[in-house]
Amino acid sequence: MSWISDYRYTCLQKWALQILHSTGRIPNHIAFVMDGNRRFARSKQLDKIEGHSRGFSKLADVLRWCVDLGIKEVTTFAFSIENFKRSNEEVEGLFNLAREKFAKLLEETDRLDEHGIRIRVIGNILLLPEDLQRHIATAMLRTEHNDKLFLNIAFAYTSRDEMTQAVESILKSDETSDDEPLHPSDINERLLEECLYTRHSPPPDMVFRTSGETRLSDFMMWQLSSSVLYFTDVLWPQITIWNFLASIVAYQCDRCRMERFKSGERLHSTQLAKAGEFYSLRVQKFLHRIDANRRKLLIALASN
Amino acid sequence: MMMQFIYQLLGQLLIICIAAFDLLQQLWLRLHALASRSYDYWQCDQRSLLSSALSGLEKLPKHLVLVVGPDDCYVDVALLKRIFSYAQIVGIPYLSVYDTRTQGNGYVDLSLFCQLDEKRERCYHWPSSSSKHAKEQKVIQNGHKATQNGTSNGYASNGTHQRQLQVYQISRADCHALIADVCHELYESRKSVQVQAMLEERQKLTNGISAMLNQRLGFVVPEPELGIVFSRQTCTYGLLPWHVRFTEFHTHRSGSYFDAKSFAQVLYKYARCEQRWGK
Repeated sequence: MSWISDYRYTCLQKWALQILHSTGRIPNHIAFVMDGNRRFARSKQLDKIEGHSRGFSKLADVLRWCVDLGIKEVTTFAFSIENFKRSNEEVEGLFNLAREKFAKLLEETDRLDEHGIRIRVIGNILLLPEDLQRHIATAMLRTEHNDKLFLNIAFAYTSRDEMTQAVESILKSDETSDDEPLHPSDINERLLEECLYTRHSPPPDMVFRTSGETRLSDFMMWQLSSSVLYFTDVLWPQITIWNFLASIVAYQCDRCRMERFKSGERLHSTQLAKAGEFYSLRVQKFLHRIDANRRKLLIALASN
Repeated sequence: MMMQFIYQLLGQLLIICIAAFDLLQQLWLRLHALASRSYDYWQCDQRSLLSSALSGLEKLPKHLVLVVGPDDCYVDVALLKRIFSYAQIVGIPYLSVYDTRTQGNGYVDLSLFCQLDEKRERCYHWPSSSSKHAKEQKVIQNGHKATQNGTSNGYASNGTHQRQLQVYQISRADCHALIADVCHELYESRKSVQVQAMLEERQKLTNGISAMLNQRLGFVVPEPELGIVFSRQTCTYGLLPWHVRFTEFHTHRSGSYFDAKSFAQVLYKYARCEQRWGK
């Protein structure tokens, strides 16, 4: 199963897609909480891992729909740090599935290049088995020059861990460098935001969660303050293009009403950047070091 | 080219249809709200409705958070008092209010009708212990307790619903900015033994940040388990990113009437949901 499916649209689906696309009110960034794989497997009397595998197939369909609708960035919640509490059998099964899918991804990088898809894994990947770390790092490095669709996969991720990691990187900022240290007055929300895993991504315009749960399960809590939250009762492996298009229509309805709040947020962010000397050489050098260290880590993991 | 034009035309038509539907729905909700308010005024016994609803619930949240969206113009002191009374009846001990509106644009200041805790700066009590309303409330509640039959879950069964509610007013400065503030403080003392100990292990740092945030918020309460968003769309508006990671959000569309039945429905939905905590 490929990362981007060869989904065949019916005429009606094509028209619906075109009509929505022509409105120009398409979200730039959608985050998906792919919930309900195990419940789907239970309802169909399948093995849990088969449920997760069907979930992945659905992700390939969803990516296809996103590409065709002109969505620029997709973030998916694949594996939470909390999921380590599941049985060893299930966790190992999920890792095997991830190994298989990343190996497949590395085989079909030409296809990803063709669509301009860049893969970014966000999360504490050092918590994962070494071979999986290697696959992930290689996939990220291999697709780093693509820029048409960004696919962020949250793996070994929780938002609280991400925020802690951001604080940690600021606290350790002067340990490994001779550059001028940060001034305490540089530290504000704007700087912290730039230290998150998602530092090169805009906040999601919409968060789409399946399976009827109406919580966020520690997913992108910092980033989604102005995102439209869309909850649907359908289980992830069962979502259809119509469910997806319904969420886009719902977003289009809510978008205008959110615009004022969003512009207020942007203004606040600009004011913070100014107040905290965000564009000073000192801060920019620090952020550059974060990028360089993350890339160094990926290279080290890929060559393990 | 022709097809493109037709698609654009249909797209615009779709947007107009959605806007018209939205307007009609809003009008209908206001009409319904007016009728419901009159009905409640004349006959509905909200207390008995809530106490009967309570008997069917398997769990109750300990901490409820109300999020008022910037576009809402229907949440006022009267509605908040009503919701506080519902929470008190069912036995929810802690309640937070996050009002994203600005002063003069509908923002409700809790100090207008709640009593500030003498020991804790950010904590309020409702109803005020000195108010006549509080005394009346107690008498009624005692009566309510006597007639309550078969209520076995949550706080309703152990009598704590007679207590005053602990209410917290959350502001924008308590959300992302507070985490930055904690980071700022840690950075200034980064060479200290305490901070260096936190940096040895990420979990220690997480626990340290949690403790510092709670101290600043004056929170000696559990994280919010249930959130009601009063807005036309579901959004957290940046509410406490550290604390609401497992909060169940329910949206009450602005303009529709919020009464005991609406509150009970939210509680039912909350009671039905299963928290798996990652398992």
